Amino acid sequence: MVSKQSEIKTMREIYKDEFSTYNPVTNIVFFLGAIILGMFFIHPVFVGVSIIVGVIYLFTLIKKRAFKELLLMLVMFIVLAAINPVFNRMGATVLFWLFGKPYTFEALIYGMTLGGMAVAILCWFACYNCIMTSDKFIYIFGRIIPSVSLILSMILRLIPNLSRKTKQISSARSCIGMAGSASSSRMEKIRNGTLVLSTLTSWALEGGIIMADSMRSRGYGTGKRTTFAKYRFDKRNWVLLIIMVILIGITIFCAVKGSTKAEYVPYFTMTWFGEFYMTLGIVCYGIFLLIPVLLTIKETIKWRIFRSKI
Amino acid sequence: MAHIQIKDLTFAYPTNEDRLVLDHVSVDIPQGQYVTLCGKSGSGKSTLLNQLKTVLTPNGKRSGEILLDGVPLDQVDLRTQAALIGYVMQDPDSQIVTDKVWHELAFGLENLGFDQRTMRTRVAEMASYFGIQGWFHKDVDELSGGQKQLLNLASIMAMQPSVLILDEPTSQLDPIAASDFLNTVRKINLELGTTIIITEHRLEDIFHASDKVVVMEKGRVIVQDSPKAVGKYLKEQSSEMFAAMPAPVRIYYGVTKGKDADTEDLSKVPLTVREGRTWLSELFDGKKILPEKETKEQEPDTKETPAIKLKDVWFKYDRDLPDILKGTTVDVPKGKIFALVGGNGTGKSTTLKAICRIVKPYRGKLLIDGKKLDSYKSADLFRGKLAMLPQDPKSLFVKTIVREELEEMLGVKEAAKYEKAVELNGSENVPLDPKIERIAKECDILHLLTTHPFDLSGGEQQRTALAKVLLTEPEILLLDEPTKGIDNFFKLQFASILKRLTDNGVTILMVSHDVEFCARYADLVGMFFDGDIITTNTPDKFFGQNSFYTTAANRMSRHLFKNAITDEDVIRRCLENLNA
Amino acid sequence: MESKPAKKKLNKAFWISIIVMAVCIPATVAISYLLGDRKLYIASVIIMIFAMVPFFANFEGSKPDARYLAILAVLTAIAVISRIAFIWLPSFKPMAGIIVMIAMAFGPQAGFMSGALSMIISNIIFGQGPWTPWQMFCYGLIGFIAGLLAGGRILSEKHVIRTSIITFILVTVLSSAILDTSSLFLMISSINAGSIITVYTAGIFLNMMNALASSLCVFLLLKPFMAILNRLKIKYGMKY
Repeated sequence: MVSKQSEIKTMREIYKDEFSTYNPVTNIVFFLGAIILGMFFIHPVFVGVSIIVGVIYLFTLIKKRAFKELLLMLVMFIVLAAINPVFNRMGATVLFWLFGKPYTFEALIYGMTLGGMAVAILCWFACYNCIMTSDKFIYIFGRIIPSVSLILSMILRLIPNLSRKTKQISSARSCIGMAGSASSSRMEKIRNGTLVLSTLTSWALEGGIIMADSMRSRGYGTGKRTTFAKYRFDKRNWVLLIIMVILIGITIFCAVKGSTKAEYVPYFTMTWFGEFYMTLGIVCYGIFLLIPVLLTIKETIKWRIFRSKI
Repeated sequence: MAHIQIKDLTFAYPTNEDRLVLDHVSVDIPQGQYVTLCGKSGSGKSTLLNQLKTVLTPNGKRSGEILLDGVPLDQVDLRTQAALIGYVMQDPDSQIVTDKVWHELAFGLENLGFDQRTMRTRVAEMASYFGIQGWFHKDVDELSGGQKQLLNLASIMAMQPSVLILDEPTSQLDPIAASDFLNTVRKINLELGTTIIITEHRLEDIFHASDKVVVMEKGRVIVQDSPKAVGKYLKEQSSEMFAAMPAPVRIYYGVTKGKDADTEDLSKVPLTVREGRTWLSELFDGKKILPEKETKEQEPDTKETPAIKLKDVWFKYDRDLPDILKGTTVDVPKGKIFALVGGNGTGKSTTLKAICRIVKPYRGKLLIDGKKLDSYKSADLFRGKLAMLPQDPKSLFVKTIVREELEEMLGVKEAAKYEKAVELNGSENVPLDPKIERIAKECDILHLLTTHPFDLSGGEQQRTALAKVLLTEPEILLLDEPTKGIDNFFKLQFASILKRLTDNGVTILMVSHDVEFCARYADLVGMFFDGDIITTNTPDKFFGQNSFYTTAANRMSRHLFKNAITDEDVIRRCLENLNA
Repeated sequence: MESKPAKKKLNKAFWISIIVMAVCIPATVAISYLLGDRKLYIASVIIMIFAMVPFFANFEGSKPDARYLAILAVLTAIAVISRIAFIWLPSFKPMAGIIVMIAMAFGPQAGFMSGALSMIISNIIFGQGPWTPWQMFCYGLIGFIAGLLAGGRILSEKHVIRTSIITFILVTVLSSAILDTSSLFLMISSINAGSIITVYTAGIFLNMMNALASSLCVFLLLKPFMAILNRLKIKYGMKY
């Protein structure tokens, strides 16, 4: 249990990442863009770009620990790519026959693209989880749904506290011989667990009443409420947000013009570099996805220069 | 005009309208005063404090009125009350609402609908005043108890209240954090002129600073006056509450005993250790102090196997984490009360956990009754050999009434049998199990059997949990901070139960911050520091050698008497010398 | 001691949201149809988000008082960490069981909120993913339906066995119907009999394990849990 908690802790570390210093709204627009566009573009090149940039960004964020995550994603990719053709028999180029059914090249490519898409999305979610800490998440919710945002913050405050209480109860019971050990029967263990939960519920609810008193005594529910904003939306956020919106706009425009077209029936064909919209689309998409990495690079260079001047 | 006027206030709960929890209470509190409210638990202190803030006032029958700056409190709207009247509660943990320190500081301001600019300024100001900048961005869960309570105080002060009410704010803190906290409260009173109304068990830190002390008994105010006058009054009335006065006051009256004309002159009464020292020095100025008769050093019986033996025990939570126990070695002799004292995070509680097999040392020997701990089966170890009373008694309560709590210990089948019988015939008609009856009597909880465990007071919960633990009939009893949050009178009762247990041969090992309690009741005291026990001695020698980590009575008299650690010791030595 | 009226009536915000939903869902379906077959995942997520809006809007519009908020927060937190109490049984996850009991005590609205919130919180702790909205919706719905069933006296602390069995069925059916569908939409290219059978049979075992844990938890905990909450309601004069 201890190691699990320390793991969660390290996930919550504040990363030396420039993009994370931007306003949560800027952050969320970027991630929504990367994830939603990633789901729409089922084109091998676009998927490839998304994976590559996603992996690079993940590496800058969690360094060596990214390997472990990537290994899992690789396994998933292989499974998805290989399994899809089993269910999907489109295309004319038969590679081999499996249980009397054709296993086609087109379906394999399609499976790989879809597997790649899933990996890319997981990769961007992994980055998201590094950048969007709970307070950023709550900040965004706080603008739209303040009561939900407050209760989220309250639950997050209670979780470590109640986990500790649960362990306290378990050990208190074991010290008077009232808890099962590793050797007791399955049913016994379940019964003991529910007794622990019942004690926890009584205890925690008493605390909940005090929490409510503390809220009311500090004026909760006496009238209009405001939300304290820890983050400011300054000029650099506006600049970045506008750049992102322009890049997303061009990418979507190109997609509408057919830049992400890939056909699998009867033969596999797709748009390629050189076609105007495809080239423009992939460049804008790539730059958009690279924004956080570029920001980190920019900041690193700036500090090199600063230091060398001193 | 007084800032807060309580006029002839009477209150009773709807469940029992005849019993007045507050009985014609009248108190005037001028702006900027520091008022201490004291009384036994159940005397109505907390009820009175709750009346001072409308949202916290429970339902009940009420007469009389409370005026805030001349306006009846029920006419002051809740929003104004929220800002003007700050209220800090007992439990540092449960009062915190949000998950981040910065958010908690801003919480009250958010509720009052302040704009961003004001919130930013106020939050920044409070963070600086209370020295919170360092942990401003942290999760509240990473804070220590003392820091949490300081955060509660700061987040209330951000709303700029004119009166601050504190209901036993330090009862859950260790002594060092407690005096830090109380000093901050004092600073707020002196620097900002905020009116303070505080209740506390430990009067040592606040009594001398109070402008006014209000003593309550059974819902009535028995005296309200300056600290010195209150001390004198309680002595003259031989009130139970005199025992709660700070050590210097108790010793002063113990020595002068009223036969001296000094009792009339209040200016001489010492309130602090410093004043007490000066007073003693003057009293014995030029006199020679008789040496204490040397008591024969009791040679520890090395032949007898100790109840608990730790030899060179090492422990850490994980390979990469620092060691918590670093070669801990200790012998706990049979039938004694052994107290482990020391600062926070030194490994005291971990030692208890190691003995209870909650954590497993990676090196060293741990013997119970001369047998290796690992060689015991769980079923044998925790039945009749070893048991621990947890720090928080609530962690042992699973049932809806005390009786069922105790019957749970008889085993699933027995408990179900009793439960069924009680359901059919009513609690009065089903005789208690003889063992339960004996132990419930011993712990003085027979009158509480049909109460819900969570409706008991702190001291009663403690005794109920103890009864539950004692039903395993342990030879060795471990106690983790047994006196935390309970008042002096309950402590006394608790100590007498412990005494009876050791008389019957039970060995007690306890971990405590409570220096006064250990000095008075322990047979042996060990100092824990940096993962090991550095000294072990009898309480008089142990505390006699310390200059800081010792009782108030000892600090006050150590320049004259050797090894006098309790009030009684000091009074006795004073009288011996004066009569000589 | 002012307390909000019982079981949070569905208010104006709720009906407005229903109307919004009535417009949005068909529009979303239409868009996804235009975009082609591969957009099932996105379309379904959008529908689900729309479906959750009324509940959140209702919660927001009801201006929950401090006690309601604090108690819901405590119970939801208990649901999230309930696993820790069964540390000796690593795969025992009774979270849905706790949510069913919360719904029984406080009604469908609270049931939905605690279900959805406990899933957001789990995902804040263990990492968000494309599965977040599905899980929120699934557990929210478990709470909501349990609340409705309790209102119709079908789930009741007087009938522990019936309640546990219905919990088992409810959790199995909803997890299969919602959570496994998300894997189907997200990972499989073509929806046909073969892929559907594969995905649902792969998921059913795990779903039944969780449902069993929840149902056992309800079986053993229902009476004490309700007794605790009833005592609280009486002691503090709450009318939820």
